[in-house]
Amino acid sequence: MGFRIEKNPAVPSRMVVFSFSVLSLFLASAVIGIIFLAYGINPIRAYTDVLSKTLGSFYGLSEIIRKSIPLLLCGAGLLLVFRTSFWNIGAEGQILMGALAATWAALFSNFPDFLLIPCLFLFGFIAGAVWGFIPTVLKSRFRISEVITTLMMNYIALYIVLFLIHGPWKGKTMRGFAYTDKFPASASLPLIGNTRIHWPTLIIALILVAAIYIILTRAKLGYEIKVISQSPKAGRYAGISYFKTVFWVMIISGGAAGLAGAGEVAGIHHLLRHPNQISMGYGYTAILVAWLARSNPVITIMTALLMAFIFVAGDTIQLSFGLPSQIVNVSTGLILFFLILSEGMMRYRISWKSKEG
Amino acid sequence: MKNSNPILSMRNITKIFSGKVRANDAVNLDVHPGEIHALLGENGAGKTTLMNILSGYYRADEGEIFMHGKPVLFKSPRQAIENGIGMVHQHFMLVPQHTVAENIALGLKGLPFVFPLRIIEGRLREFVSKYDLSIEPGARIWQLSVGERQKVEIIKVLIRGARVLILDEPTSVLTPEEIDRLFRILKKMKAEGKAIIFITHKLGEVLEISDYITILRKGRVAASLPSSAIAQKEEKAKAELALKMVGREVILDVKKKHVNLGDAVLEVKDLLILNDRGSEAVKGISFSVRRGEIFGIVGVAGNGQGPLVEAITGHRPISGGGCTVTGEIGYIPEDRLNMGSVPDLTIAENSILTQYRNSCFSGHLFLNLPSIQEWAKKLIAMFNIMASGVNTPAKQLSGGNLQRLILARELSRNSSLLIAEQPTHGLDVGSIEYVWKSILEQRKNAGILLVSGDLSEALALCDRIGVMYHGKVTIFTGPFSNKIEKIGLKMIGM
Ligand SMILES: Nc1ncnc2c1ncn2[C@@H]1O[C@H](COP(=O)(O)OP(=O)(O)OP(=O)(O)O)[C@@H](O)[C@H]1O
Ligand SMILES: [Mg+2]
Repeated sequence: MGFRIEKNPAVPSRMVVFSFSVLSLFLASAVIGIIFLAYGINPIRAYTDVLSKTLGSFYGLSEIIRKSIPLLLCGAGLLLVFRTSFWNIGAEGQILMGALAATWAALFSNFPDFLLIPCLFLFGFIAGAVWGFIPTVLKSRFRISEVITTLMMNYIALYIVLFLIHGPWKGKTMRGFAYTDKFPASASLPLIGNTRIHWPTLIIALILVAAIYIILTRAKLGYEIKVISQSPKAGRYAGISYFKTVFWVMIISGGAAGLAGAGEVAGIHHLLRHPNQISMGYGYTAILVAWLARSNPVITIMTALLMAFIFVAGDTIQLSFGLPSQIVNVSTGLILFFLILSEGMMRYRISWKSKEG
Repeated sequence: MKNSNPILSMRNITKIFSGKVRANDAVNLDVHPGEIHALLGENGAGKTTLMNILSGYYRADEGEIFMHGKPVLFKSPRQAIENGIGMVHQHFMLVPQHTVAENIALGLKGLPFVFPLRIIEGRLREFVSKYDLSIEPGARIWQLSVGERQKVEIIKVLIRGARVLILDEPTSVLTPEEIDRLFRILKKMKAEGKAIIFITHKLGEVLEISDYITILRKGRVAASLPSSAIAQKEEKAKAELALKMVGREVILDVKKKHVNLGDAVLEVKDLLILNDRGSEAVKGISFSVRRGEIFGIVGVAGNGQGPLVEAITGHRPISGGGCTVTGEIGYIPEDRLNMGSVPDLTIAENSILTQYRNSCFSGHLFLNLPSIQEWAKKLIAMFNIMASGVNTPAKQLSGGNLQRLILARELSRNSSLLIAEQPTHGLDVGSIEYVWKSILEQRKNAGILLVSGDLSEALALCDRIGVMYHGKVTIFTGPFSNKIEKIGLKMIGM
């Protein structure tokens, strides 16, 4: 008997996708286990420990949900964008701009208290949307690749925030730390019990997922997205403007990322601080959230939770075993690597054949 | 010929799609070496499906395939080609950015790891001289004409050692000259003892080249006979074949009722258009199309017809002169798979591709899904489209049924100018009759610009014919009966 690997023309079924993903998680865990062994840690003990402190504990679960909020907001928006083949890797910067705009609303605006939270989300949305909109203009006017511009705008956003927290917005009460002042109570989002789940943002995220689902299934915009994503030529034939479609999609996606940023500062930090603490790479991880969900926005709920779990598990390992944070990063990297690998593997099949065949 | 043993036999082949569509129903087919076997049938009769089974793309639900009397089972196209069966598809499958040699090398076995392209180019030359297939190995696919692409597909199959060559509607995209060239190649292959299965809707070709004919109807074999058993006179022979295919008589002789002419809906004046390479594709032509008339554009492909239509539909800038369209344009594009439809979307979604902004189908933000479904059902009924439902992806339609969907959509638009590019491409004789009638019907409220590679179609339908040659146009006014020869000569620039 011999075998050969060949391309499988069929679209993998849900069952196949699910089992491949689970399998890849197991494989990744095995490889990470080897790293643990090298550090003299019993991997079995490590995993039971991680599981009991994440999925097995109320606090761990609540942290997973809380970290999934920004991932969901950004991931669902990106899912829409990627269908138009506009490669937006700027969600990170859009988050930061949203956080910045929300901070301005919280600290420096004069809105009445009861309007403060809605305004803070509104400003976050607008700032993120503007940040997402600019690369589409640059592309349609000057043909500048969005991969470059969205990435560069992440850095611009990062340095704007750094500048503000070190300079004009530096808190008077913060004794020299690079923070802004604390938000007033009326600008802080309510939490569920003693968790850090800021539920208004969670609800907004779920509404967004539903909205994107509706856009894709029954809105004119969704129809246009589907046509241009399958065939740009048919899009032109149907009179669909590629850039007009991308404008709207980027406004939605950038705005969603901006909402995530607003939620983080108003729900968790209650001030504007170093960009890496506000976002921890949510904007990049959301690319995977969108990509793993393929084209179904409802699935982003699951993939966002999965990515949040990987984040929280990493934190737990670092705290429990005192491993250097680089090892944690390597581990998360390995998990992502195996997930991506499995995605590719699903498109192939093994065919067995006898020698004489 | 029947004395030799068949190289290939299909026995009781049945294929059922999604549990209900019986695309093939107990089909038997024998093919002998040195035979050109024509496979005929209405749109959706199951021809492509049967050949996809033979070439390993689909697996039959029932039935067996024998090669040289031995049972074989193909799980993939690769296994079929290893057994000497290769297929050139209705829609080509080349990688446009790659060169000819690279496309041919793709998936070829037994090539060295380094410099495989040199070997390929060597072998290519061998083929080129043997079959008279002139082709430049270094050319990129997107630069080639359709006829040249087809040559690449054929070489790709032959170089893998095919002894049975399947051609799915190879001629519907070719110019008459290219068809002649293809037939010469096929005859050479036949003389070498290869077997050729040839799908077509053009009955003249069947009579010209085939040795044996199998006709499918609704997935079953309706007739299987040697070509010599068909009537000798061409007209009678065609009628006989059409009757066997469609089950009724087909009269491809349309009665043109007189329609009063209205205002001009298209006015082209001294129009100058550049092609992608920046040279003049259309060199200052003028004509107009009035409501109620059919103006035909004929000519050998590549004489400026494409850029002309692109300019009229607003997909290409004009460099000089003017082009005025009054009212809305309905447009049936030649490229039905990439332009005229979105194969991955459903039939319902495709049925509104050019009209989704219409207030019947959408409001400010949302689509009106129920009315879209209704509409798609109406089109399916009107044009007799064979589909299992309006929510199945358009790519599941047979080639001719996809064409009918596009025709149905564009013909029911109430546009004032209808541009029809090769409207009867890939349609069976029965539907050609219907489409011709529908186009004539359109004259009531539209002017029609018919771009056709099929001169007999243009002669049958048009009131005036513009022959394009090297970017210029010469206009003939009907009746054409004593001008046919002149038109033919103009097409080759004489
Ligand atoms: N992948 C598929 N899934 C479901 N149904 C299919 C699929 N492919 C073909 N069919 C159906 O099977 C039937 C036969 O299709 P097929 O493509 O074989 O027709 P055909 O004889 O080649 O017609 P044409 O002359 O129009 O190309 C059609 O009703 C078609 O809708
Ligand atoms: Mg077909």
